[in-house]
Amino acid sequence: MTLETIDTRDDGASLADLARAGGTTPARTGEALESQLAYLRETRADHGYSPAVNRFFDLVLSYIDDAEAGHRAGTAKAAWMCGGLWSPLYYACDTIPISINEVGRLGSADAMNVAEDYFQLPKESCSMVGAVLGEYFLRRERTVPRLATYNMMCEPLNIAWELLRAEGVDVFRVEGANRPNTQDDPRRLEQIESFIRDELRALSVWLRGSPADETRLGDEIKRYNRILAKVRRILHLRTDNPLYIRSLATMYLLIGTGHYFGKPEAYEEVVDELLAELERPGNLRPYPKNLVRLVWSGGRGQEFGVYKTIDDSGGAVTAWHTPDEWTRGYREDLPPWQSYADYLITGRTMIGTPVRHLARIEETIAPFKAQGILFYGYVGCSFAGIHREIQATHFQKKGIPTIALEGSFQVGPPSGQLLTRIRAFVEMLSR
Amino acid sequence: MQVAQAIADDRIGDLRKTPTIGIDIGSRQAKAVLLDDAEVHTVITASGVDAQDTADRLVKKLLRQSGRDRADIAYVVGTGYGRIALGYDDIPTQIVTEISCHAMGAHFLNAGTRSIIDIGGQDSKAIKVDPDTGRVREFVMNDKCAAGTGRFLEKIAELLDYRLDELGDRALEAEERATISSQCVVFAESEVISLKVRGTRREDIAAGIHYASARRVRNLVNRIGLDPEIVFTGGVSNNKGMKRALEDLIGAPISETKLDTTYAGALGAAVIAQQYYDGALVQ
Repeated sequence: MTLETIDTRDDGASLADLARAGGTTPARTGEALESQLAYLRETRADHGYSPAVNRFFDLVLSYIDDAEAGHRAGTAKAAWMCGGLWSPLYYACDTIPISINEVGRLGSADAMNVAEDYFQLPKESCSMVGAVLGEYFLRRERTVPRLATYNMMCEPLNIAWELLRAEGVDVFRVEGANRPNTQDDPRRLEQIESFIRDELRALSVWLRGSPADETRLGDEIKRYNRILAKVRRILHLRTDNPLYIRSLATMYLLIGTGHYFGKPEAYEEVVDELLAELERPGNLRPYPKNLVRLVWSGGRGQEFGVYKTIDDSGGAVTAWHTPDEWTRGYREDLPPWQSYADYLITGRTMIGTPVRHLARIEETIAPFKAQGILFYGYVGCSFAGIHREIQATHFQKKGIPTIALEGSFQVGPPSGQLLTRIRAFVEMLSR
Repeated sequence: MQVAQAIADDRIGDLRKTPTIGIDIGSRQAKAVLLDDAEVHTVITASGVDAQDTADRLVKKLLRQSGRDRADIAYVVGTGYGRIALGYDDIPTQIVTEISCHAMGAHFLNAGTRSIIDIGGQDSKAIKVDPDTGRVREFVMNDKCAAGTGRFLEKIAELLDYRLDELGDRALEAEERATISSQCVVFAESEVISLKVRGTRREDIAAGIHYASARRVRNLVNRIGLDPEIVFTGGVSNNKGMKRALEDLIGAPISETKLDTTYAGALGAAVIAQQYYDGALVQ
C-alpha cells in the first residue's frame, strides 16, 4: 500500500502529510508531543541546582534525533532495538541502539491515528503497541529502517513488528526460550543457553556482517556492569535524598542503562557527575518529613504527569521493578556469549510469569524504605492487567499497600481520575 | 445551622473554633462548607466551566450567609474534580483528594464510619475508613464505565421523562422491577427503550436501572469489602432508590446522618483545613 491511498482525515490533512518524511529537522508534531516535552523541560528546570541532571536531559532529548542524523550522515551506524537487552552487543558491533520504546514515548496523537486508520488496529488494542507502530511508521522516511526484536516481549508487539516488516522495514527477530526452572536438568539448561548463543551470534551478523568479536563483547559487558554498579549506588543514595533526582528523571536514568542514549561515554560521565553530586556532604534537597517512598512496578509509563504528581503530592519513587533491570549485571566469570545467554534466560523483569517477579519486587521494599507499591500498566494490555492483580493481591495479603494504575501509552496528560488515585494513595500513606 | 444539627455528637468536640472553608468541585455540582465555631454553613451550585470562578461564587455565598469577612477565614482546602484549578492569594490553601475528604467528612457525619460508598457524577468509589481518625485505609475507584455513576442515572431519567431528583422516588413505586441485564450504559439505554416500547411501567424500569447500577457498585465494593457502619456520599446519595438497591445488594444498612451527605467531601475538606491550620497536618 502506498501513502497516496491513505484516506484524508477530517481536518483535511492526509496521513501522508503527517509522515515525518524526508527532512532533517526534528520531528515535532502534535499538541500531545509538546506536552511530553513540556514535562521533560519542566523536570529539567526543577533540577536547576544540578548541572549533572541538566546535562543528563541533554542526552535524553537529543537521543533519537542524533542517532538518526548520525546514521543518515554515515558517521555512526544505528539500528532500532526492542527492549534494553541488546545494548552491549550493539555497541560491540559498532552500532548505536535506538530503543523502539522511546519512539512510542515521544509519539503523538497522530501515531494512534495511523495505528487505527492505516494498520486497522482495533481501538481496544494495547496503547503501547499502537503508539509504537504508528510513530515508527510516521518516521520511516527519515529514520533507520532496521529493527531487532526479541520475541519474548509480548505477542501484540510481535504482530506490530510483522506489520512493519510488511512495510519494508528490515526486522530481525531474536527467538527466545523460556527460563528454565532451577531444578532443571543441567543438560537442558545447556541446550537453551546454546540456542540463545546462536541467536545472539546471528543478531551480531545482522548488525555488522560477521559475528561480534568476543573480546569486544566482553569489554562491553564490563562497561555495562560498571555503569550499572554506579546507577545502583545512585539509587541507594537517593533513598535518603529522594528529591535530589526527581522520580521522572530517575526513571530516565534507569532507561539509559539499556542504551546509554546512544552516547556511552557521555552517559557514564553524567552518571559519575550525578554520583559525585549526591555524595557531596550537605547536598541534600529538602523533603517533607512524612514523604512517602514507593516502589514502581510494571511498565515505565509515558504519562509523565504521573511521576510529577507523585513528587508534588509528597511522594517519591525510590525502588523500581521495570524492564530496566538494575539489580544485577552479566556474569564476568563466564565467556561473553555464555554470559549473555545466561543473563537472558535468568531474567527477572521482562520475561517469566508474574509470580517469578514477586521476589524481585519484594527485595526492593526494605532497602529503599518503600511504604507501598504502584503497579502500572497500559490500557488495552490484558496480560499486564492480570499480572497486576496477582501481584497486588500477593502484597496486600502481606500488609503492604498497593494500587493498580492503568495509563495510556498514548501521549498527553494523565486523566484526572488517574491523578486522583495517585494523590489519594500518597495521602493515605502519609497521614 | 448549629454544629449539633450537622455533626455527629461524638465528633463535635474534635472540631476547632477556627473558621475554615472546604470546597468540593464535582463534575456536576460544586459544594462548599464553612466551619465556624458553633455553626456550619453549606452552599451548593452547578459546577461551572471555570472551577476558580465557581469556587469564588461559593465562598462569597458562604461569607454572606455567615456574616463573616474574607479576612476571618483561616484556611481553605479544595477537593473534587475541579480542585487542581483552585487557589487563593490571600487565604492559605491546600488541595486534597476527594477520597481523603469524603473519608474525613463521613467520619464527622457519623462517628463510627468504617466504609463509604461514594457515587458521583462521573465515577464511583468505595473507601475504608479508620474509625478513630477518619483517615483512608483503602480505596477503590471505578472510572472506566459510566454505569454506576450519576451520569448514567441522569441519562436514564431523561429517557424516562423524569427529573433527575425524582428518579429514585419513582423507583420506589415499582410494582415489578424490570430486569436490566446490560452492565453497559449504551446497551442499557437500548434495553430501556425496548422496555418502554413493550409497555413496561416507567417506575418498574426505574427500579431495574437502579439495581443494575447498584450491581456495578457492589462489584466494585467487593474488591475491598465493606465493614459496617457504611455511609453513602456523593451526588447520588440523595437518591432513595439507589440507597434501597445498595442496601439490598450489599445486605447491610446505610447509616443515616444529620447533614445531607452530598456535603461530605466539602465538610471533610473544611475539617482537614482546620488540621492544616493547626499544624496537625503538614504538606
